[in-house]
Amino acid sequence: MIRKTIMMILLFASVTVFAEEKKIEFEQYKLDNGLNVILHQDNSTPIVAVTIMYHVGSKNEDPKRTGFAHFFEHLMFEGSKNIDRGGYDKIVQKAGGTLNANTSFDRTFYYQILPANQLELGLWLESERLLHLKIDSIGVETQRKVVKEEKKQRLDNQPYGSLLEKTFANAYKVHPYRWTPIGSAQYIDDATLDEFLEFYKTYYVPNNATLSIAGDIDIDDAKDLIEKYFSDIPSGQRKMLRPEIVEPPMEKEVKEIVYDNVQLPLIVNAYHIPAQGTDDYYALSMLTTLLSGGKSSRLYKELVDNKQVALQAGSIPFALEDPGLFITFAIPNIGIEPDSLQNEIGSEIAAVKKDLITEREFEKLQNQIEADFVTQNSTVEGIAESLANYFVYFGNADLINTEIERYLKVTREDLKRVANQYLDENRRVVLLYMPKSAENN
Amino acid sequence: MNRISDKIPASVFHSTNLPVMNRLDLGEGLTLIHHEVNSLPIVNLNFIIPLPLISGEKSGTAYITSNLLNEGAGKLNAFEIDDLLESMGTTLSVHASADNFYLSILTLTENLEKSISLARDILMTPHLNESDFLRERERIRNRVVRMSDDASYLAETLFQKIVFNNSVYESPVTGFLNDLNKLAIEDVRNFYQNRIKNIAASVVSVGNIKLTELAKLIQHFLPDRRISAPSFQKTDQFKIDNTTIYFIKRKDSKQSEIILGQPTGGRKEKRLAEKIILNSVLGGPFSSRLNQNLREKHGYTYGISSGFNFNKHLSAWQLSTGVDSENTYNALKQILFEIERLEKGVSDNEFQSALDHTLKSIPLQFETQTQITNKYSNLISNGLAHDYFENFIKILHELSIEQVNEYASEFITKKGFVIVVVGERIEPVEKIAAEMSYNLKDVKIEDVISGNITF
Repeated sequence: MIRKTIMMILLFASVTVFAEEKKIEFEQYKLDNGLNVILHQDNSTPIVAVTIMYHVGSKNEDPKRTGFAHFFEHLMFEGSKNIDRGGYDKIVQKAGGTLNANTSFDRTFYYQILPANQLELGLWLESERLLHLKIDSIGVETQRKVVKEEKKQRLDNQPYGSLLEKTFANAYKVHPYRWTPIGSAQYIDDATLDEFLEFYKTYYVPNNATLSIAGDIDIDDAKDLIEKYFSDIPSGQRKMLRPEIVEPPMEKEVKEIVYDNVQLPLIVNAYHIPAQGTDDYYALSMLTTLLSGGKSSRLYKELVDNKQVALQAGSIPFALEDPGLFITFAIPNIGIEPDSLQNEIGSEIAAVKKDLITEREFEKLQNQIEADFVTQNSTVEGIAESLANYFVYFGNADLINTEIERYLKVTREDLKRVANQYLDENRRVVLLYMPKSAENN
Repeated sequence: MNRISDKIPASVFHSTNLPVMNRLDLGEGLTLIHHEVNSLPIVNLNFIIPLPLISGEKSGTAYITSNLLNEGAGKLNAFEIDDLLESMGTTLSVHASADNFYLSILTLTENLEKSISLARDILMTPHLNESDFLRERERIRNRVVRMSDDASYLAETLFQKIVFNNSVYESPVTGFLNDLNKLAIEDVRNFYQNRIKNIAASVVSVGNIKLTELAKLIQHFLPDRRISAPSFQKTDQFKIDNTTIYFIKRKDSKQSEIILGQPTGGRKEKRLAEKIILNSVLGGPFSSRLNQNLREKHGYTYGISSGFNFNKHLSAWQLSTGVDSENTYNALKQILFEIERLEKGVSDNEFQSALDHTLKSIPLQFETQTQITNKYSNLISNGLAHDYFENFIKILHELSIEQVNEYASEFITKKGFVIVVVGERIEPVEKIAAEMSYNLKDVKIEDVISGNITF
């Protein structure tokens, strides 16, 4: 046992040393118009990621215009003064690149991954969006239909597809996290062209954007090109909606049964947790790894393997800019009653509340976190996004190198404490998905 | 204004340098293909055993065997294996396809020896207990039932059953329920003994270790694999029903999931480059004709794409999409319209754009160690030459629009598609099928997952 512990410590130390050696170097500065710029040079593969993160997500929306941020992501591909409708994709395709975007509760992220010689093209394309996007009725009408089909394909037509929408709607009553980024098709239908233009002029401005570039670049050349394409884009002048609403604590368990187009039930438990970046968030994140990180994790080992009561079981800390949710989920095996599985999940949660986890388990947990740090950020797109995330949310892009220290500060006692403090079954949302055939029983 | 031009900035494309893969015959039935890269202290490694499934074997046998191998091996039980792996921060997975059996490792270099030693136990001394088998079989059955709630899974499963009818590729890798119900532990033990244990294999690896060091480790831990894999058995009656729309009624569906396709040649085919370009124009990237038509012009779908389902011996070309239920017929009409339009060839712009995309995007596919490992593993899996990528790039550089357009009418056979639709029957589908000159056949979900489909 002593030998094993020594080996673990040695392994742990060597990984930490490597993490320090493998520091991700970057340069960061701000243009006069407020555009934040982060540059990371990595010449190992001749490709470059050109990304822009706009600090606008669904939580910035008017409650009567939910889905706006995500809808706007679609409009951003419609064309600009110098790019015809559909032209963004054609230009990037011809250049041998890929592009896409995604919208969350807190931000919208656009990225292009291009051969390294196409850096200037990527910057030109992003500056076109920022400078003079084309918003017209043809684009709006088309994207209204497309977004409705996206919702059907990704949510409505998927088993348990309403999970996030239902969970967040039950967990939040006043905070804008009560709706999800897909929002309401009705509100998008009701919105006028002027409203879309207003949203663009408010949020799609340099002083709300972070241009993060990673890959096979020359830093000085990149700076020149950024100056050329972005420096004259005017700052935004409109007031951005930054909700400061604090969701009051839940006073009791809220339970909803959802009858869905599924054959096996699903149990979801959601607990309120602090925002990402807080000390307790890191402890809860490690708790998730303890519960469901790999086949020897507690939920998997006990519920899926040992007792064979669950087909799947896991937990997710929903990392958000404002206080988010810690979600556990499990699908019972055929013949297992959901209540019985819920009790088993409760037993596992109770165990982490009652006893400190063993030192052996804790060391394994730390090693898992360390190994994740070594293997993450393996792509230039991933590095560009991480740098932008750390800057936008915490004002410190260097967390890409140092966030590991925050995890390593977490103790076994912290794990027990946060389990007791946040995983309170009297203040949680319970969703039970049941087959539609069970509705009339 | 500082912007010098409102025109697209010009650039010069640099030639593509592929990773240098070193090949070493280790003897005793082992081949090593390795690329040394030292940017991270990690090693990716794929151990590949050729696995031509044999007709008559129960579907799902390879899959359940792959799941059982790391449920206990050597002196370790399943929990001890997982615990050891997680302690090392190593990922080790075992999985199967219709063509190959894989053991994949991603580990810190300093744990490579321990990881390969564990791989040796998993490959050479697995426990294969009956209790584990019964538990795993039940888990797979549950998973198949769970997957049957997924429209795209149903569509894909039925499409494969039809397009690869009566071949080893006709079943999902997890197996049909009918076969799973009949599987016994003896099937798994026989399969392991005859198809895995000492079969000649290849190792593809990328990471910060020297070729010679890695070769020593592999020879030490995984010697004696001299038995050749059995040959692929061609089936006699490979009959495909391409005159019928197969409709799986899925109550309360919000969209119709459509797969349409037909058999096509494999990756060794001479006209592959032409096919890749034609497919790219039709349904490849986002700016493809199908996407522009169905998504951007009509708003029927969030997205549609087409591509190739390449296997070692039989392959298919197919497109898939989820469309608004009320526009299922309109969507099918537009799909057929675009396929027909492709027969007339592609424009200069389309050709150049598709060619540029195919060539210039190659560096993006070789960025990470895992990508490189999988790319070269794919060559082994499909029985392709080690210089396949270099040769294919050369062919693309020499390709002309005339060659592509000359082949356009042969790429897809206009008549005779395998068509599967999963969704609600909102439109008069009988009428639609008749208008398209197809028969219509309803298929029950239970029959799809059980494998009870007859033609």
